[in-house]
Amino acid sequence: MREVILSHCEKNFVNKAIDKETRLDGRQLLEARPVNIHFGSNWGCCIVSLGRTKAIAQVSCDIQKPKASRPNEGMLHINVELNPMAAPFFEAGRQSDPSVQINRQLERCLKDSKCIDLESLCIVADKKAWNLRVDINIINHDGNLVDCASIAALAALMHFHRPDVSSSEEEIIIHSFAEKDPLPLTIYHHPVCISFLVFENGNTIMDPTYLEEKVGVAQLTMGINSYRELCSLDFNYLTRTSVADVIPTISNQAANYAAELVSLIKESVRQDVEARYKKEVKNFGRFENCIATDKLTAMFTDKIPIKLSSWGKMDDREDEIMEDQKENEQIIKINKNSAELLLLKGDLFGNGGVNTWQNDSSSDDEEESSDEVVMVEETKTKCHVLDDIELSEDSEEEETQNMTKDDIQT
Amino acid sequence: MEGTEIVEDEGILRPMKCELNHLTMPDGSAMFMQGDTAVVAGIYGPVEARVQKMMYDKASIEVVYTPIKGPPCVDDRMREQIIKETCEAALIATLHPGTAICINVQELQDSGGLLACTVNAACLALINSGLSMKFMIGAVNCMIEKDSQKLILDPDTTQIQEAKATFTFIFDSSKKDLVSCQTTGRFTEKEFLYSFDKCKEASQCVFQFFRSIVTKYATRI
Repeated sequence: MREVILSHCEKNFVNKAIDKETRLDGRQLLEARPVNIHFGSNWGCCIVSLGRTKAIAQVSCDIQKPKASRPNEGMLHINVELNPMAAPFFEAGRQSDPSVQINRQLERCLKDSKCIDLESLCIVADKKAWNLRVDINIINHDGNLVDCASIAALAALMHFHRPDVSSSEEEIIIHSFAEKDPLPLTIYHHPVCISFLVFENGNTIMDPTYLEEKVGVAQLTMGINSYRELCSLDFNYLTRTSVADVIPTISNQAANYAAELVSLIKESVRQDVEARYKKEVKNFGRFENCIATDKLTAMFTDKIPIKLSSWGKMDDREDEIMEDQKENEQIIKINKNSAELLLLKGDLFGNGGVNTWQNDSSSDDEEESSDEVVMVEETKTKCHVLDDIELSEDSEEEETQNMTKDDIQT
Repeated sequence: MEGTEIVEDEGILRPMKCELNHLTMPDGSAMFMQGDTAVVAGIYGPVEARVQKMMYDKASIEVVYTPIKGPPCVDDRMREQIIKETCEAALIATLHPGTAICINVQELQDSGGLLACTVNAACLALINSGLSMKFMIGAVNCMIEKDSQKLILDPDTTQIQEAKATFTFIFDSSKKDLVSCQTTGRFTEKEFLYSFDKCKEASQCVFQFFRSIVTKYATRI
């Protein structure tokens, strides 16, 4: 499905609002939406929601031969998938323009800034190294996908623990989590992407929504770490604006917000990881807490114990079961009334009872005939309606209503 | 555990948690959890169909299943196919000729019974989207334990490792008939029919859950 084009009214409305330094969701121009992070029960799995934009990240690892150019380093792959769930114009399994762009921005922010110690991921130089893969799925699109994806990727990487390995001369043993405690990744600094949007009138906003993204003329994404260091920069523009115009006004705000955001991510990761180390049952910040308990459309159940008939008697009635279930099967397939008939037949079977085939067909006939009766009635009503139309055109509707009532009564 | 007729953790469905309208972009969406297994489903429909897939007499139903990590593999395609065929049976596609109904399912976490969870999430999202259906669909997963030959309903990951065979049955809500089923492992016909019976009984709880969530919000609107 193609993307719906934005109407002029909407465009003008957003532009006018920005002129008056107002945003549709009531934020200040340089204010970001709230960030929520929820972790799954696996290492390196999280859902991040930035306002209504939602992304899921999962880090996975396997052992591969390192690149010939960097024989003593592990590898990091970042893969952003624009799930068709996020918006109807995203297509599944195809690398579209925006997905390549987001992928590249994240690679520059996380990979090229060397925030992850890849050397520690090497097991045997030139032979074996860990290959990390970060999969990010966007599941709801409300603008600013880059920021949401970068927060998700960073949180997942910080949360991820890889299995421990021990290597003797020839072979490598990967220890399961039960044998040896898993190890976290070494992260030198924590870069996040912060996006800004410039409008026609020169106003700049932070963390644009989907609607604003479609109206804006230039988009600036900065990768900044908590030490206020710039890791990547991306400027995408439609009209004549230069980075020099935008950066001075927002760089300070971006650096402050980045520090705030990173401390938020660190804190939520720390809480979850500590709870796992202590093997505590944590009752916040998990997947199930994504579900808002107070919502009318949400629902919880405790465990549902089911007392099934003849539970656990499977062994006792081994011989009987086949017969029983054949009966059961028949009862299931035929509706209630005829099922009763069948049971009677079963009793009569072999005693020279009524022919079952005949019986079946007769019941079928009944059903069919009843169907036919209904059909006849319908055609009758149609005839009547037609007549009525010819006779009096005014009371068409009333007449048909009367007829349907009659139908129901019969 | 032994000695009692009804073993406690056998006849139990894991706790179900659900939120309808979880996402804002899709027409209908649901996040559904069964124990730790979590799935998000989102539905767009009826929307404009691509020319290649357009059918003049009914809506074409597209299903996209996205695994949590890596590109979709053969198993994921199969799951996609099962959801597609099940939803085709449930939806009244002839009401929207020439359009497409897109069902997207995202896996969040797999702790056993993923297919059942996926189908239930898809059904809840369909309910939320307001598309007309002939019946609801509810799936129940069960397994037969290797050593004890016992049937365990809705097993989790640790239990599934002891499984000789696993079954996922999908039922409809009106006639309580089987819509589709998926099995793994080796089993006898007797075991199959036995687990079919039990899952059928358990599916009533799933439908009851669906009904209660709808009544919960429908009575207050």
